[in-house]
Amino acid sequence: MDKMNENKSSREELLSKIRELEFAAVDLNLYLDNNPRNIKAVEDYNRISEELIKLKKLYEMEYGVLTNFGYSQSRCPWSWVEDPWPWESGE
Amino acid sequence: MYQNFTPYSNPYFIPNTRSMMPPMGELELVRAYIVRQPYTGLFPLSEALHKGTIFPNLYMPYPGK
Amino acid sequence: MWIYEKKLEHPVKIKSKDVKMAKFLITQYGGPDGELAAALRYLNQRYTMPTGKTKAILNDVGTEELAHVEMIATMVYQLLKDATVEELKEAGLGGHYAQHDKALFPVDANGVPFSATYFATLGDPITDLHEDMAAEQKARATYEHLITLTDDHDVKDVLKFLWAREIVHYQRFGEALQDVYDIKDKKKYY
Repeated sequence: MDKMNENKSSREELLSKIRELEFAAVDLNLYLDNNPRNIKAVEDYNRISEELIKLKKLYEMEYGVLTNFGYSQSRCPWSWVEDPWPWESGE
Repeated sequence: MYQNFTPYSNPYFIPNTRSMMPPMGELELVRAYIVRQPYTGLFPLSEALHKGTIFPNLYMPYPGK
Repeated sequence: MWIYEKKLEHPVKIKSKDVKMAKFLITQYGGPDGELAAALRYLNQRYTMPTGKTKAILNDVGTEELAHVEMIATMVYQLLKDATVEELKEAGLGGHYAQHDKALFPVDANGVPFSATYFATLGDPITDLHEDMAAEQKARATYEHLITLTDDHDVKDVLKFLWAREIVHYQRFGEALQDVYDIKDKKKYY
């Protein structure tokens, strides 16, 4: 029972970090759309993106696919269909 | 990454100065102006999501409760 | 094309049901100044924007608005999840229940269904960007009304996040407008 709670909190922590990174990437993306020549912004975006891709891969290997349509691989059974979905878990 | 927010103001990082706000006397009639956002630094990631933006200069604390 | 990520942009964890709030909140789902109207407005305007930059910003803000549609829908879903039919009737959602049970359907706070008349695409980039800036202000003001309508901190947190995003979007559309003016000015002298 303790191990389950431990796994739950480390999964939530990892997803939380992914969410923070992705949000930073989205906000930077919008800035860059209007300011494409800002070298520092591109560098910051790339640094965030590198970390985001790394963490997503880690998460997906352990807890299942986050983005489908070919963006990452799944174990069998096909993990995309697993519950809960975001509106149920709130994540 | 950004453990503490360190603002920096470097002219090389300010976008193309051609499109900055023109001096008061050169503003035209019959059009709208929005000041371009200077790139002055990012919030730490853990704060940004909670605040709704990674840009300190676009952050507005919610007025009220 | 669109890809879906199985994760909300910002977490939505409503702990206590509030049917009355769901009825108010749904305006940001199917109402005139809501996220669905915003998404469709920007994603429709992007086709006739004059530059790569303006197409990008309309495309990307439009896409983020779809993520916000999902968050509003999630809030309504969670607020209604454990409600009894009696509670729904009492809160004025009896009609909604008759037609939809607890399913999501885009309507405003008075049950009026979503309409494409809530947004406009004029094709003129200066006009369209002004429409977008106005839309962000309307959404911002609506979030302020909604935040005042509830004491629930779980709900308020999400609404304050969405409120902050509207302010950032307003700045982005404003910047895009400056670029469109700059290009127009450059053309004047040829």
